[in-house]
Amino acid sequence: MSRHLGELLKGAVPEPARVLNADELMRTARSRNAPPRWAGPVVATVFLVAAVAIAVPQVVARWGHVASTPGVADVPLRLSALDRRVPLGPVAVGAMDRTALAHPGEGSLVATLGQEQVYLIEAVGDQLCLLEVNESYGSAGSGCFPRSDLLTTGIVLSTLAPDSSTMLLAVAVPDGYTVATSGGRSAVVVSNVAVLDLVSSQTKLTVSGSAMPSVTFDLGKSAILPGGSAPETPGSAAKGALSDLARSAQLYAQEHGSTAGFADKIKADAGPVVSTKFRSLTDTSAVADLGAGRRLTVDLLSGAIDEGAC
Amino acid sequence: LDTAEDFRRYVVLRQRALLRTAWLLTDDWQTAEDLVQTALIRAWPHWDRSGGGAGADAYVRRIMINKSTDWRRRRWRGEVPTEFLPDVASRGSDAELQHMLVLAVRALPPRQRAVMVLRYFDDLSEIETAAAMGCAVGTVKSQTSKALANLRHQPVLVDLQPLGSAR
Repeated sequence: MSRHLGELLKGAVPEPARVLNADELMRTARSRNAPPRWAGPVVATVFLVAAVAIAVPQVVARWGHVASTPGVADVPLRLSALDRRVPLGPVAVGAMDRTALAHPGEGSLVATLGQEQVYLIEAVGDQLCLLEVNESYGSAGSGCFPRSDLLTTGIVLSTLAPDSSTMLLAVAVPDGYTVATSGGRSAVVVSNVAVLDLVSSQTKLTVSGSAMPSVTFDLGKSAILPGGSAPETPGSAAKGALSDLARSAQLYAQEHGSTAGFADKIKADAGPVVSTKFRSLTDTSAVADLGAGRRLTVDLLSGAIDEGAC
Repeated sequence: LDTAEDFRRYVVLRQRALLRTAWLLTDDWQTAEDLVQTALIRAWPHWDRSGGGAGADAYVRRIMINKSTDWRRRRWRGEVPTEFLPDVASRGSDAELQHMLVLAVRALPPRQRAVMVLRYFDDLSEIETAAAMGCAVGTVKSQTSKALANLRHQPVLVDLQPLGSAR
């Protein structure tokens, strides 16, 4: 007597004992995906590397610009993303109301992470501002710096996780810069801004691009990261690298409509680093080896990371 | 429809099917509910890009497969089986056969189990199954073959036919 597997399986599975509460699930999804490291009163927001360096001369001596190759002074400090402005939301407007903006009520949306948005905004006096805002949560953090800081002390905005173990960092760069790297992790520059998720012990950040001089910024570890920081393990490093890659892919998709061409761009921009960091990289996924036959796979669209291979 | 309403409607309309799939991928209703909720919560931030309808199904299903495999792998390492399928069983009613089949499917390694559920319960094609599992069609074929062979090790399932559902 032959039995059809599909029919048997369908008959074997009972009806669910109860149903999920869609509204409750929706609330949970929203709250869990409100980026915890970027939002809310528990997050210590904004370190102002450039501002501190300007305000406190002795800090400049200690933290200042670590390295810049010849030719940095010749790089045009143009940011094309500033030409693509959109109206700011009410929370963003409120957060910037004490800053004289070159285009009041407008900013360039350069990154979206869940409900969190990052804007690049031009202020009067040739200042550039990075604004991180969660319109739903009503939280925001920002920093404004002279445009001339772009390739000297750096225009950087970061937020610490509540436990200070990691920080999410946005760095603004001029046209031509394509990659930001720190602690072995890299993120693609999209709309003149790169966003990285870092273990908080990282103190150096390098931005680079083909035919552009690489520049390294000092993130001023002691000033911005109170408390200890967890050492990075091979697993966490790989996960972090994959997370950064997924974030870059999502930003790329926002700009190009899909991730088609993303892998080629990364390979072209980051060069041999890609093959050393990732076992494989396609437009939709990437695999990193952990050693001992273990590997991590990231779905670039969702950012979901899973261990093991099919 | 805005994104939130679209998501809410999807949960209402599709949760029964998702829960039943999850029940096969896991071992009980509680874990199945956890799996569906986890998948939906993880899918939410990217809901706009999931494409809705079949696209949303594929996206949520892929997360479910990844998470269930991950959860099961963790348990797999430390678990000591305390229950075994009987070596010989009478060929009784469909209900009994179905019960044995569920036990046998749940005893499969995670990937074989996933391929059985996707191919023969969710009626996905080999291509769709490969997409959901994030692997090649050839891998789906080989996993299917291994899974069927493993199921047929059970005397009551020896004449099981993989017909009628999977494309």
